Amino acid sequence: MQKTNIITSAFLLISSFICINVIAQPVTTSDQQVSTKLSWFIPDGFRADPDLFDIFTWANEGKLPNIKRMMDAGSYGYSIPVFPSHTPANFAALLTGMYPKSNGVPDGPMRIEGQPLEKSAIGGFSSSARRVPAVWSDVGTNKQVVLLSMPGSTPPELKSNAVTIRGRWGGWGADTHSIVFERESLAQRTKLAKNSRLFMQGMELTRFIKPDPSFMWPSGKTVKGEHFAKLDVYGVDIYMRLHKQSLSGNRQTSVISFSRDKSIIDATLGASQWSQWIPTTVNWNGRKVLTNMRLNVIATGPGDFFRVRVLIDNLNSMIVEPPEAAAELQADIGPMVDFPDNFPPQLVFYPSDKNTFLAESRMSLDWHKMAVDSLTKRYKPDIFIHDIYTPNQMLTSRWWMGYIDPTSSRYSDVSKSTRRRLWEEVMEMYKSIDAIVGKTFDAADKDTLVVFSSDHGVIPLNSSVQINNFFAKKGWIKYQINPATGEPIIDWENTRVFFLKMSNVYINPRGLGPKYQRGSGTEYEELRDQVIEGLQSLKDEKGVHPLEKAVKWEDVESVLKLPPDRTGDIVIANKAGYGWAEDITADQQVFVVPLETGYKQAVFADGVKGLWAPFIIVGKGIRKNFKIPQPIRHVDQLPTIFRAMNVESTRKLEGNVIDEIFVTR
Amino acid sequence: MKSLLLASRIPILLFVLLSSVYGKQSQDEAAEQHLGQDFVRSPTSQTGRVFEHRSLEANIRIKLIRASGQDALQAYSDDRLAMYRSVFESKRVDYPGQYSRVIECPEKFQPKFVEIDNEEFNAKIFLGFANKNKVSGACVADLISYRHIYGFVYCKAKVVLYELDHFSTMDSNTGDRFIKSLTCLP
Repeated sequence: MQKTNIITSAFLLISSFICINVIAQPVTTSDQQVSTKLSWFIPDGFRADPDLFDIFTWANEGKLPNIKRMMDAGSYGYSIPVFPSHTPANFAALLTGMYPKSNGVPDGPMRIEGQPLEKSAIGGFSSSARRVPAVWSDVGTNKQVVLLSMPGSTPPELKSNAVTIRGRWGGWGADTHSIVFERESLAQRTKLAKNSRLFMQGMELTRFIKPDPSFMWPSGKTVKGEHFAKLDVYGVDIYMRLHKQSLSGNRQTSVISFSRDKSIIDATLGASQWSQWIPTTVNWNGRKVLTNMRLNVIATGPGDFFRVRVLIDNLNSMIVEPPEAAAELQADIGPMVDFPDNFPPQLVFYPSDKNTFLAESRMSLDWHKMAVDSLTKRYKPDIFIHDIYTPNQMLTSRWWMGYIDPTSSRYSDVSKSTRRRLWEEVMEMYKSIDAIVGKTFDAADKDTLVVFSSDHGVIPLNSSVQINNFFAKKGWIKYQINPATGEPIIDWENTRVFFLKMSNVYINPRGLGPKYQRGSGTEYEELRDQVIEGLQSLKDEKGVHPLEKAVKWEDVESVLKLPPDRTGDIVIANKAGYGWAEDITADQQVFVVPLETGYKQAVFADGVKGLWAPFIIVGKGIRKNFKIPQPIRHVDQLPTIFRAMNVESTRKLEGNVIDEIFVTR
Repeated sequence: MKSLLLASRIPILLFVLLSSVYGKQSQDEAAEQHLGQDFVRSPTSQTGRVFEHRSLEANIRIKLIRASGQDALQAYSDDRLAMYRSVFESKRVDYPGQYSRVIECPEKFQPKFVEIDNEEFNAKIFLGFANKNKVSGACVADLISYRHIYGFVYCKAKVVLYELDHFSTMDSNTGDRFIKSLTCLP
């Protein structure tokens, strides 16, 4: 034992301390039928609706046995997302019981007055964006809390009695995403540019590299048909050798050997094959991060073409709080695969990408299932809140939603047998989520309120609407094409109208730059009305208008429940099947068919059941085997949870308690 | 044997400094025994023990880092400081588009770095802001509710590292005094 002398300070107070951080207080009630713990599983994009993704019927048919167990033991129904119907707004609504106008999170990237529009000052996945506490602060005082992969949970708000693991996209810590390496070619670059991916790829979710003889392995001889390249993975050099390998019968196949020192081979893989996990140390912000990586050859050939996936373990000591939780979890269940693919998706360009997606999807579902056991046994949480992004990634990818939902324009593009197979793959994912539900349910004791829900569903995406092309044709956007890259460079000071994700149109007749300022006066009003009229008149080749509603900023709080100071001059909602896009392209085409076939975006979810999500709640005082007759709203979930836990919020929640689910009203 | 002190002087509060020598006790035991009743002690974790103090003027969190040797402590603090800095670095937006690419904290909301290195200790401290939920990274005026001091104090003689979080109200100057009061007493 280290001998240490410590002199500490103590405070004698002249008056009583007033705790300024207490949010929730127990309700004084005689009702003893309350839960003291909470286990809330919120998979992202887990569609549940009464028409197509009828999970309650699937459960009754025996396909989702654990969801069935929860239904029998509790109350269940559908829940409607807030607008806009995407992840950050809806996780914030679920976790605060408040609409975006009050919790401050209507979007992912958010712009504000006084800042350049091309740089967001606030990210909706960060805990710093919320104006109010989340449920874990409400009920987590003096309790053990575990948060796994939760949007809005990092930087961590709880630093004592809490374990926070990789809050997705919170902008905190060593978040090492996986990377695709592809043989550079002009044809592919052109293709990606046409699909508006080139510039997002510039964020290096995919890297294009050329074979280079200078990376030849020292011991190797020059062999015809061999190609060498180097993959830079967060400062770790991985050398690859594309070569032929003999098979039986004088046949050959292309394989890639990987080595970190051009000597010891880490793996030799053919198409669709994966390496084992390889321990490594990557560089992040000048720090060494112990992690693991796994190599996958997506495709080889023809010629020297290759496409390689490097999957990075998502768990390390620099993305969890406290740091030792990473090693503890690794020891229990191994490297973390949080979710498949990236955002924006990278595994959508080649048919072979789908195999890699499915493999990563299975790894992620397995890891999250094992994590429930590990976390509950190791930390014995009173509050356990858990997300997995895999359902959203699958249903918004290229390969599934467009061909299984009859409302998709691409529904008839595949045969019935193909559609059957696609449904089987989707059902495999649903069953894997059901298995996680089972683990969660089994880990809960009699004092635990168990809740299963999701942030939103997913619907077919038939057409991307490149609104800025429309505005450019109107002369409202001034830009030049960079001759070197083909990239449109916006002249913000002379641009008067611009669309930015997810649903905001910024307008100022005096220009939108260098810093954005809200306009006013007659000129502003006239331009804004022109923009609305233009958007209302916009229609595709079938004569369908994609605009559902345009709301002026001064009305967004009352009409859309959005915070005016976090929105553009007009907020635009789209009809189902369409998705707004920012792209400006040389051909100025407004309507394009995207590779992805599913999305959620800025749709009014009340009348679009494909965007609905499940709500199942089990605990003391909750009616058993009770189907909630009408869909609830996401903001209703937290007030209902508080009621079930006998907790009264000191801030005004904006949802309603679902009174009918309680045994004692 | 030298003693270590991590002192916080908040003059509005009646302040009494206790000092003792506990040569045979562990850091945890000594700290636990002699922190005032206004500090809440959290369960011990592998990397250290947390003591928290809450008052109207300031919330203070002190984590006594458990690691052996100067190198390990240095690595720990460097990792944690890198994690803190990452919140304010330009980064790819969560929902990228052709023109939605970067989240960037404006300069005026970026934390200021202060390093104090003397014979007694080395302190690496960021002076920044936090939101209503006491989270750093608030980069818009309306989100900011607190002044936030975050950093590490490494006391050289005793080879002991403290991780500090100090939240004070925007009209308070307790943060400045907190920093000035840091010392490792002989």
